[in-house]
Amino acid sequence: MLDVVAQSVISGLINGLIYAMVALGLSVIYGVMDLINFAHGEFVMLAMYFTFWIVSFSGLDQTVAFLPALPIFFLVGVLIYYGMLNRTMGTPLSQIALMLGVAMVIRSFVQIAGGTAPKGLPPSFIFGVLNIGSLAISYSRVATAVVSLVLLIIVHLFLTKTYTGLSMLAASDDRTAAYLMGINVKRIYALAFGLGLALVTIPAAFLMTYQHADPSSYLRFGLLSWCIVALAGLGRISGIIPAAIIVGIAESLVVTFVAPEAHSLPIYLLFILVIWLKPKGLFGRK
Amino acid sequence: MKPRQFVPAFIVFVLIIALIPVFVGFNEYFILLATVVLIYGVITTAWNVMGGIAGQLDLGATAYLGIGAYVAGNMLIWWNITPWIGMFVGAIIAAGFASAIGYVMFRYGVKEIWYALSTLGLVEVLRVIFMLWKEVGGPLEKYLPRSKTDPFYYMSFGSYIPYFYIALIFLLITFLVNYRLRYSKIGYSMLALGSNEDAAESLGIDTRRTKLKGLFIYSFIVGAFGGFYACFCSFIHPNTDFNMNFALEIAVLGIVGGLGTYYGPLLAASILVSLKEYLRAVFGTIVLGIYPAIFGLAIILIILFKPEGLSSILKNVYIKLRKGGGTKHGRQQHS
Amino acid sequence: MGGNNILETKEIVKRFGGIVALNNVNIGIEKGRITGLIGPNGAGKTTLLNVISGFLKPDHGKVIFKGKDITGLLPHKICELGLARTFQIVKPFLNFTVEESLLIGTLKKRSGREAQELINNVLEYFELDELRSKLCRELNVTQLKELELARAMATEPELLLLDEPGAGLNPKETSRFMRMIRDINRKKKITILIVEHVMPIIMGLCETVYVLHYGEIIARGTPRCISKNEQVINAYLGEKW
Ligand SMILES: Nc1ncnc2c1ncn2[C@@H]1O[C@H](COP(=O)(O)OP(=O)(O)OP(=O)(O)O)[C@@H](O)[C@H]1O
Ligand SMILES: [Mg+2]
Repeated sequence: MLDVVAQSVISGLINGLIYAMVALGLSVIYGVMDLINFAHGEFVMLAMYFTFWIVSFSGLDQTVAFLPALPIFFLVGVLIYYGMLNRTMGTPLSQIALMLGVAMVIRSFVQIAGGTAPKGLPPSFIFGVLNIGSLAISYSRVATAVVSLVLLIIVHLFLTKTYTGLSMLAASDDRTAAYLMGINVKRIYALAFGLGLALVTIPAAFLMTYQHADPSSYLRFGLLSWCIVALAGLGRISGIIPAAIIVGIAESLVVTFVAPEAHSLPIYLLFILVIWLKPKGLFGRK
Repeated sequence: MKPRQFVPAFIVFVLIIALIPVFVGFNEYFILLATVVLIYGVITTAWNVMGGIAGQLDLGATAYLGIGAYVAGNMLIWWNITPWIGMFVGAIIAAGFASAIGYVMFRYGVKEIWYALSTLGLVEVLRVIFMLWKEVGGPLEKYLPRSKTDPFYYMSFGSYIPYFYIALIFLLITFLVNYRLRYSKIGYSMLALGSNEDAAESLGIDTRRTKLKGLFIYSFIVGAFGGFYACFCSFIHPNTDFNMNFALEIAVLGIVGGLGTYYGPLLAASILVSLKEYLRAVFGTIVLGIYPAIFGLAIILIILFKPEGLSSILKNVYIKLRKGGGTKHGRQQHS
Repeated sequence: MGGNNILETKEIVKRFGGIVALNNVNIGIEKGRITGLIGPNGAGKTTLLNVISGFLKPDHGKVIFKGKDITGLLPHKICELGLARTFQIVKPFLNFTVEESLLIGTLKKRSGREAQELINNVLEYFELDELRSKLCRELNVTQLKELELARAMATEPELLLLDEPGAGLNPKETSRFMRMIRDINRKKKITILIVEHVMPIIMGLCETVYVLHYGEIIARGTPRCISKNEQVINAYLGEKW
């Protein structure tokens, strides 16, 4: 019994670390722009398809397939900001509707370009299985978890140590103050949105080392990310890791002890409870 | 303060809709299409009470729709009770559930985007619960009993025409509720709340209660409509009834239609849902999955180029018509 | 403090995370008078107004209004009891007309003809008659500030809390505002607590002034007295008024 619990927890922990990276882009956008990107899940899915296509056509390994996708996603983000979001700043409802529109377009695109069948890739150069007792975890998942940690640390350092990163945080704290300090808020927002989308490509590429992409992948990754951001509180990078780990472990325990179909239940219940009782997040400070 | 000039326009409008089956020569396909438009119209117009007038971005329409569908559906399956009663019971349970949840949320100050996300999460939570809860739901479609001899009792008709008219009656009621509300004391409180919560609160408006009232009215109508929806689909299934995308579509139609007007949501539903169903019919077989893209694009274009919503087009036309008729300019509407 | 106070705060403490925004604040507002509250940026003035009007719950302490403990009551309840406020940053109902904005204030207590009469009176009083069917989004900031005051008046308050009504106004508008505020106090017999940075306003209107500094009341007295108080001058050293 204890063994089963321990295995479930370890598996959940690894998943949680991976989820942290999936939610990162959403968190950056929310933290800086105060905007919930309703198309986040769709962008994750799109990036997974991108990885699939890049790997299929070029024979690159998944683990580096994000390199061509990253600048494209960044550019798309900047364009979406200047083309749409910038014109609807201050009307959050319109922004939500806009992003839902974008989400629908992406879903369509994925279906038209990729069909409805799931897309999987042959193993990357990382393969094999790590055995912990009777628990078997593939090395690709472990590697993904490690990459996630590294990426989170890099983004955290970027936000707290570089001038651009600090301007982003300043813009998120107070728009007028940021203006006064001579920060071009629009450019910062465009950058943040671009960054938020670009950050989706890395987890997507690594997810493709052990997962399929299909036209409904967006559902899972969208809500999952919102839950983590809600738990973490106001776009705090440092809060993402514990939040994601809680989500991962809760999910894993329910899958083991209740039913696999119920895997999303603990996440949403946790999410709803946290929103109700601690709207600033479990790990939010302000 | 009621703009009475809207009443005649409204009657003409309803008559035109009521005659749709005649216009399309009782073509079942077009009537089905019109019924789907009405279904969206009813839910979006009900949503408008909470989302448009009271300004609370609710993404949980199908949570209440699903509860209503399951209550009425199961009452029919288990006890052979007619959906006409089931609808009413469903409405009460849906509204009771919504109010209980709403009470906690408003009590703890859940608002704005967090309200939106938690109502959306609620739909998914209910979907999973009903999936697992074998006694009432389960992963298999539960078909409603039908009867050739007494279709009215079972609300199971061989043609879409009766469904069309039932939905139309729902739309009428919902529309009137919106209209009445919009120019009543509660309506003004809701509008003020939606416009600026702090200011409303400082002027003596009990914002928690106002939100609860909005949520109650909205979930009651949608809950009742759930019973109809179950009969229209002829089965109940968690994925059909507790559908997140459906809930999102409702909110988007409401926003695109123009918040806080009582006719905007219906306008958006008529235009966009017809467009969507038309695209599905035309392109669905040629290019799989193209219609959501066009639908999505339409939404983006409307938001970018008509940010006040589709209703503003209608309003402008109306004002021009009145000016053309030489009468004094109409009172400004809230957009 | 005497028994003539319409409002008293008792040992109010309010913290935000690590920041102590209000520390043991005791003030008394005498009925029928205009009381001032001054202090440098971030002193906690707005926070105190928020605590009094129910927008924030204090961590400790009591707010007594007309002899009744109103601590922790919701803002709308407090408004009903006869306490109205304005906001430092105006909070208009953008899609409402001026007249409808006023209507919101009357909803709780009046209806029908009575409400309309009240609205007409307020419109006339604030010389907003020509603007009555203008949408708030078409008004400028000065007009919005006036409307905010008018809106608060439509709730028929006994005590009015004003958060920096003079901020951003030119001298001419400021003197008009001062006249209006004095008028409200004298003719309508409404007690006023005014938070202000603009010293001439405080000097010209108030009989008693409280000075808040880092969340603590450091002085209380007549405006003349206060402006000579050494501690106050120190607190404001480097401030530009
Ligand atoms: N909601 C809040 N959350 C966290 N901190 C807050 C909050 N509101 C105010 N503060 C902090 O409390 C302190 C007092 O702020 P307050 O707004 O009351 O000052 P003020 O005297 O009104 O200043 P000003 O003259 O600039 O209006 C400040 O340090 C401010 O940062
Ligand atoms: Mg202040």
